Order: sequence, then C-alpha cells, then structure tokens
Amino acid sequence: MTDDDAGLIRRCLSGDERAYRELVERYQTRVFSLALRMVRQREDAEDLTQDTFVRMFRAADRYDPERPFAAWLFTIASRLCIDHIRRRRLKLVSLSQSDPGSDDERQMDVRDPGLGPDEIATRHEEERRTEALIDSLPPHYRIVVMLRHQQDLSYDEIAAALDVPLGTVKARIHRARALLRGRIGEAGTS
Amino acid sequence: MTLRCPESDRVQAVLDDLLSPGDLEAFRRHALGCAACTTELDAYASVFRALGALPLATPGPRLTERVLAAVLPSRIRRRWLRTVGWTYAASLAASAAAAVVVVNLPAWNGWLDAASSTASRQAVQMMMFLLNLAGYATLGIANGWGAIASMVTRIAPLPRALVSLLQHPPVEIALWGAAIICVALLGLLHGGDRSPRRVDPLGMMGV
Repeated sequence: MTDDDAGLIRRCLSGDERAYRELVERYQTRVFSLALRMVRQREDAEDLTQDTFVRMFRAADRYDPERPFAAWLFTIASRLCIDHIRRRRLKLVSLSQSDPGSDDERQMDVRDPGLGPDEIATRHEEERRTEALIDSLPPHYRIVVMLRHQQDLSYDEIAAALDVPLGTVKARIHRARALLRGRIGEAGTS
Repeated sequence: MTLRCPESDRVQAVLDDLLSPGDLEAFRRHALGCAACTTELDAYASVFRALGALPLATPGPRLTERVLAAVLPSRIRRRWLRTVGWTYAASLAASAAAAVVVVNLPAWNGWLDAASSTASRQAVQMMMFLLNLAGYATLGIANGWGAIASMVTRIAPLPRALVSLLQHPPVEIALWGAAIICVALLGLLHGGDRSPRRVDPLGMMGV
C-alpha cells in the first residue's frame, strides 16, 4: 500500500477531479493488462477496465485505507473478469476435462484470436510463447498466475481478491506453474 | 531419466521466498547434492523468469478519457443536464407540433370561432410567447452568472454545466428549432387573424 493511493482516494471523495485522473492513469494499464490476459479481447478488456473503475469509485467511500489499494482494485477487476468469462463461457468452444485430485473443473479453451496479428508479431518470441502458454491455462489458474506474477499480489491478497481459501490459491498457483513448467519443457524439446 | 525427489515439492516455495532462513539453507544444502532438485529448481526458475518478464499490455489511447467520462462527477452531471436540455427542447417542439395539429382540427376551429375572436387568439399567442419566454428565462437564469450558485452553494457547478450544455451544438440547434416552431405557430395564428373566416349571419354577402 502507498499513502499516495489512500490520499488520492480521500481527494476523490472530496470532489477533486484531478485525483480521479491520477488514480485512473496510475492503475489503468495494470487493470487492462489483467483483463486482456483473462478475456483476450481488447474491446472487452477496455469495457472491464472501465467497469472496474466505475465500481471502485462508487465504493470509494467504503474503502479501508488499511488495506492495500491495489489488492482492493484487483479484487474488483478479478471478479468482473471471472463474471465476464462465466457469461461468455457458452460462446466459447471448449473441451472440459477433469483434473485428477482436484474439484476444480479444468477447461482447455480453444484459443480465439484475441490479440491482433500485428501486435503479436512485434513482440519478442519468448514473451509471445509465454503468453500463449498462459492463455492455454484454465481461467481460474490464469488469474492466480497473473495476480501473483504480473500484479505482485501476495497469496493472502489473492485469496481475499478471489474470495477463496488460501490453500486453494496456493494449490492453483502451484498447479498452474507445474502446467507451465511441463509445457515450457515440451516447447523446448519440440 | 532423473528420479523424483520428495524435497523438490519445496522448489516453488523457495522461489516464492516463502521458506524461513533455516529451511532455505537446509534446502540449499540438500539441492547441492540432488540432481532432481537442481533440475526442478532450474526448470521452475525459468518459469518464474518468463512470468516475471511478461509485459503489461498498453490500452487504447482513449481509455483514460472514456473511464473519466464514466466516473467524473462533473461529466456525469453534464450528461444529465444534456439529457434534461434535450428533453426540454423535445417537449417544447412536441408541444408546439401538437398545438398546430389541434388548432387545425375542424372541431377546434369550430370551438375557436364560437369562443372567439381576436382576444382569445391573442391570449393563445401570449400564452405561447410566455411559455417560450419562461423556458429561455429558466435556462438564462441557470446559465447566468452565478445567480443559482449564490443561492445554493451545493449546486454551484450547475451554471458551468448549463453553459457547457447550451454551448453543445445539438442542444443549441434543438432549442433554436423549438423556438422557430413556436414563432411559426405564432405566425400561423396571426395569419389566421388577418384573414378571419367570413361569417355572414344575415346572408348579405352575396348581395
């Protein structure tokens, strides 16, 4: 948590519109990145980013300054992303398979063309490969990996953000990394 | 093929920096002599590196303004006021149109002829004029120069919002349109006065 975030929220509550802009500019890229990685469509990701900030500002008077602002913001963003994926699930062509030893449903989504080809082409090959691997993860694994590694949230913060037990978060992150480790190995040997 | 070591379950905790210093040191000592754990450590380290190197995606250039348009109180108020302005203009235009239609109905003309006369027509004209004037006066006062702000400090941004509302081309066009319709209606009524229906109760006009 930074005092600046709490201070910005206070200024927003007092009607300072520059504080709104500062807060949006400070976090929009991170929120958008999470949303894009989760839903893969730029337009949807921008909608989710906007919804995240709208909900955050509406609830700003209930924000607890003792809690890290980023974790709170990503709680909102994560839930919106998950809701969006749930709503969209029927539209996705997906192959479901059970994960041995887990109650989680594991979905291997068939990749859809979320990122523009030009954008992908300009990226470094290794980044592209990692992104592709992350995209291949089931959504509930993908989000914990993104919150942990891209947004630097702690296990406790992720558990709070997703409203799931800490043990579940740890198990999902470990399984997700194990999947990535296996796939990176496969990619390296192929 | 490397055999699996039970200690390798701790590799992710090591890289997550979740082990106590004592446990970490113990694992390091173990890993020095364990090929399985060393392999696992290298493999997961590359996973952590790859995940850590993931770039942030860049949103579209207009996202900030789009978000701010949805959350800034002044812009929300402006949007609300614009809606009110449009509603006012549309209502005025619809009222004028309805008045034109009603005035042209035969039944209305019959009633108007019976009741009538220049005085009642002038009353209608005056009423339309006052209605239009009241509309403009309301916006003028709200637009104007802090009159409302001085009375109610809590709605101080209202005049500014109204100014921006009135400067908004569609609203301005709509208001002018409504005014033109009103003027046209007045002209229509006035024209009716110039050439009143000829009433010939005694049948003398053909003479």
